[in-house]
Formats: sequence, C-alpha cells, structure tokens
Amino acid sequence: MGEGSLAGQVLLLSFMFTSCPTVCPKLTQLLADARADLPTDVRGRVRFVSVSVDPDNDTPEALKAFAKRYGADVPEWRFVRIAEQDLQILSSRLVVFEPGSPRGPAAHNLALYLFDRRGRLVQRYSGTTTQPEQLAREIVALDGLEQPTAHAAGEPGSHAVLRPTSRVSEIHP
Amino acid sequence: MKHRFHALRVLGLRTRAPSKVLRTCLVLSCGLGLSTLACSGLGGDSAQDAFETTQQPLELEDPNVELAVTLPSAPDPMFAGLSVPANAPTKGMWSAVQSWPLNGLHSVLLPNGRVLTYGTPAGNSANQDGRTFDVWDPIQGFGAASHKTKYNAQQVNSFCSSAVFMPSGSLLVSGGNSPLESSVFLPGTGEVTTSAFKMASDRWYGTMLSLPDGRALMLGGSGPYKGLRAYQDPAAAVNAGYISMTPEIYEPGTGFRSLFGAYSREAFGPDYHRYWYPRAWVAPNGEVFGISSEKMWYLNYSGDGAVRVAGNFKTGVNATTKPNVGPTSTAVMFAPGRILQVGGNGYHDGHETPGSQLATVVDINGAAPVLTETSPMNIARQWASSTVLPDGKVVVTGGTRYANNGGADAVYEAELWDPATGQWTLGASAAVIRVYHSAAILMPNGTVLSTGGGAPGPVNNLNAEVYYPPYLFRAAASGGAELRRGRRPLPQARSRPRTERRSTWISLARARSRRPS
Repeated sequence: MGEGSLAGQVLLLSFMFTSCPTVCPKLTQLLADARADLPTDVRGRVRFVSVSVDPDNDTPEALKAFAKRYGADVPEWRFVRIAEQDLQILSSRLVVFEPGSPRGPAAHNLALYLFDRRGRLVQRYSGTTTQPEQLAREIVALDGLEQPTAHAAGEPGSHAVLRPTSRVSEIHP
Repeated sequence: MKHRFHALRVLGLRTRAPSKVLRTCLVLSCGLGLSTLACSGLGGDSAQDAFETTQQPLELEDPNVELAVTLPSAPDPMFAGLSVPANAPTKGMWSAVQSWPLNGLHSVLLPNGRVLTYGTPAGNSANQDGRTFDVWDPIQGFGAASHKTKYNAQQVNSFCSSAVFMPSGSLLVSGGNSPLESSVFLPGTGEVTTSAFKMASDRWYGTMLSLPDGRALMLGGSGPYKGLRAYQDPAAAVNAGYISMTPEIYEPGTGFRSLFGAYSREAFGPDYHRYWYPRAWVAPNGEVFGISSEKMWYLNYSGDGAVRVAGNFKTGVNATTKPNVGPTSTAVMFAPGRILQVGGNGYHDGHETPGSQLATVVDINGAAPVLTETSPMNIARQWASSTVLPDGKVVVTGGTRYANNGGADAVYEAELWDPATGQWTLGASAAVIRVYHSAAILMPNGTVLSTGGGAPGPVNNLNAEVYYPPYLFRAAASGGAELRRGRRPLPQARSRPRTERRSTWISLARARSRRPS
C-alpha cells in the first residue's frame, strides 16, 4: 500500500487478527454496518484499512476469507499484513497496545482512527461504544468537508501517520 | 422578554402572569448571572433577621419588561450566628469550616437554589470516583440533614467532567473518568440517568458550554490520564490520538457529532496543555471565543465548524516572567465581552513552577481581542478560583504560590478586583487550603461557596467555606461592623443582545466546572 493510494482520502484505520475469537469479529461487523450506512458515493471515496496485528499467522488467504465473511472484500476496504518492523512502528505510534500490557495480538485496542484528507488523525473512536449509525454520520461529515486550504494544510500537527507503514507485504483483497 | 422569563425559570423562581407590577420585590438574574432575592418586611435586630428584609427594587433598563416573582421569606441560615469582624466592610469575612459529605471539586448552582457537588465518594476525599452526587439545600443550613447524597455504581464516573444546563432544565454532565459518557441530572427530583448518547472522543478535562441556540459544545479534553504530560511530547500525543482536537456539538434528542471543520491543534492540542479545560465563552459576535493556555481563538460552530486563531494570549509557562497562562490560571467573563484571566503559570498539578500574579483583561467586543494588563494580584496564585460578584467585582479565592503546594505556599486570603479601578484589595483569609480540584460559586444570596481541593493532595477536603463579600456589611453605629439591613447589592441589568445575556448566565452557572480538575 503506497502512500499514493491513500493520499487525499478519508481513511478509517483499525486493527484486528483473523483468529481473534470475539472482539475482532464484533469490531469488523461494526465497521461493515457503518460502511453499509454510507451513501454510495461516500462509500466509494472513503477508505477502510484493517491492519493485522498477527502478521505471522494472518496469511493472505486468511485475510481474504476474513474479509469475505463480512462482505468486506471490496477495493475500498483493505485488510493488510505489514512487516513486523513496520507494525511495531505503527502500533507504537498509535499506541495500539497499552504501555506495560503484555504484547500479543489479543492485547490490541479496539480504537478506530479516522484520518482526514490531509492525513490528520481527527478523531479516535472507541470500538466498544461507537454505534454504526454514529460512525457513518461522522464519516459522511468528514467526507463532506472541503478540500484543505493552503493555510490550514500548514497548521502544526499535519502529518501522514501511515508513512512508516508504506512497505506493505500484502493487501487484501 | 421571552428570554428573561427563561432566566427566571432556570433559576427556579415562580413567575406569575405578566403585568405592570415590576419594580417590586424583583431581582433579575441576567447580566451577571446572579439572583438575590428577599421580599418581606423589615427585620429585627439580629444578623439573620437583617436578611429577611425587602430589598431595593431593581432598576431595569427596559421599562417595558413585565415580570414578577414570588420570593421566599424564610430566614437564611447562611447568615445565622455570624460573628462579624470590624474589618468586614472592607475585607469581607469567611464562615466557619463546614463539613461536606464529599470532596466537592465540581459544584453547580441549581435552579432551585440548591447546590450539586460531586467528584469523590462520600467520606472519601481522595478517591477519584465521581459516581456520587450530593445536593445541598442551603435553606437547611450546614447540618447533615441539609445534604442528600446518592451513590450509584452504575452511574457515569464524572470525575474531571464538564457540565451545562440544557433548555429542558436538566444538567448534562459529560466526560471525565467515563470519558465518552454523560449523566443527565434532573434538579427537581435529583434523579440521575445515563444518557444514551456517547461522545465520539474522550473528554477528560473537556470544557462544555451552552450555546445560544440550546445546543452544547464540547471542547478539548483527552483520554483519562492519557495526556498528563502531553506538553512534553506533543507529537506523540497527536499521533496516538489521545488528545481530542475535534470539538463535538450536542443536540438534544440527537446526541453528539464531531465538528471536523473546527479541528485545531492550536486551540485544543497537547502543546502547552491547551486541551486542559480550554476557557471558552460565547462572544458578542456570536462565535465562541477561547483561551487555551497561551493561545486565543474563535470557533464558529455553524455547520461543520471552523476555528480561527486570534493570536497569542501570552507566552508559555516561564519561571522568570511568570505569565498568567495555562490550566492553573483562572478566568471569568466579568462583563459582556470582557474577560479577566489571572494567576497560573503551570500546565498540571505536578508542574513545579512559581505562580503568577498577573491579571489581564481580554475585551472581545471588537473585531479582535484586545488585551489590557490590569494591576497584578497582591499574591501569586496557581489553582485559584475566580467568581464574578453582583457588584461587578471579581473575587479570587484559594490557590498556591508554587506548583500545587500546600503549607507555607498556600494562599488563604481572598482578593477582590474592581473593574472600575483595576485595583486589587486583599480580603479576609479562609481557613482551609484549596488548590487543585477546588471550586467556588456565587450563591443567590450574594455569598461565595468554596468547596473541594485535593484528590490528590496536598490536602483532601471534606469541607466547605463561605466567603461573605464586603458589600454584605457596613460599619455599625456602635462601632465595629454589622450585616447590612434591608438592602443587598443587586445585579445590574444590562440591555444586551438576547443571546449574549443567556450565554453569560449559563457560563456563570457552570463556572465552577471550567476550572481544571
């Protein structure tokens, strides 16, 4: 997944692993329901990315099957497996694992990270309390914002959080 | 006109049909957000009796206003048994220290004249658990029977939350240690329910304020304890999404939604701890104006919202120049479009910095904020509370000279600022250290209720004190001083735009929760 494929896109980022017994299926269903609530044109523009926190075991085939289970095998929703080094950088940056907690796929958080077209993390949702209708409304609102102005783009805090993860091993579908 | 009835309803006063009755027994809370009321015959000789008497009618600027209220004539126990010192007409005085069921770090004056406090469990002043609500009825004095304290394990934990009154009269208490959730408190019944609406982003140390259109705006905040030192590595806090830099707006019946257009690191970011309880008011131009640590901004909350930065208020915290910035400062709108920000010079309770004496008036009545340095306080303070008084002055209570220290650094003296002269006058001294997690609110009878402090330390208070400002006293003919009889200071009605007046009242009603906790 190169930076270019997400540049200028509204992006909803989350973390999962395919052998997760409970929370990841629920979280993915939440995302699928929210996505289903989006107007067709918005659904076509917004990108969902679900990053595996278990790259050793989440094979491309497993990711593809997982995506299909939730109707997520569409071009606008990527299930990705990235190199362990990149996963560490990304998860550290987004604090996917609580500091001090035991590492391992099951310890990942359920946060949903919403990025605007400038690559700014503009909202961090709880995957445990957010309702699909609420999430869909939020995505529609963010998608509806105008393109960034030159002034605003220079505001401190603009960043491209996915830059360190540009070396993606597999993207599914 | 309609608005003024609204103000009375919020205050819990009974109204009767409009007539040309005004100018009798009426005190209207509007410009300064205070309602003082008393309507009976002249009292006897005791101090308490002095406050059962009729006060002078309020001279309204609008002669066409038609309002009347039925005022209670019961004695006011808050004035019972006071031993008035001779210097009370210039310094005011403090009550004895009164027991309080919990550590009242959040306090709200309710429309019925009672006071809601919360922050810790009953009897446990150090536990950061805001699932206990206490309602104090000042008409019953300070005894145990004057408090009704309820704990509900299923209730939202409102420690370090923010609260506003909604048009329905309910109190919406949002965020805190339950960072996405809200309680709805009904002042009439004391019932507390959990709102079905969740916020999108964590709002621990968020600021919520009422908007003129009846909605509420939530600003700033973070995940609980996630950003305690965020100013030291702001980039990491931004990357993690721990800091809530996108405001949310609450619409009754609909819930919260993000104002993505108002995303702003400069207004709500981790830098300089701007996200810690940003100070915010509805401005005369209809926007929301705010001071977030060293930065000033305007927020247009229409549509998806927008923030425009209005320049720097001061520099960041500085041990040499000691600017009045940061979450340890205190600020109030003392007159329409005029804000006083005093003290501070720290980012959090563990920040080892000297307090600030500085005081700045920020005038937002024009196109851009105008900053005017007024006289510095006599004593440097962090974690103090400021309260607008009905005579237009501002009283600052509590605080500490250094960091969040108690001991010799604690400040006990009140200080009164007169906007007419820009000068400060030292007031009487309290008996209790009230620094981090303390609060002060103006009561309908013109006193100031001072609560809380601690959780964590340097002291953990299960008590409250009352400050009686100088205007409540006069020199006695026989020497010494006594409570004024038959007349109390009145709020000054001002002809202001309707929206501004309303927002001013609301912001004062919740002033105690704007302070960092």
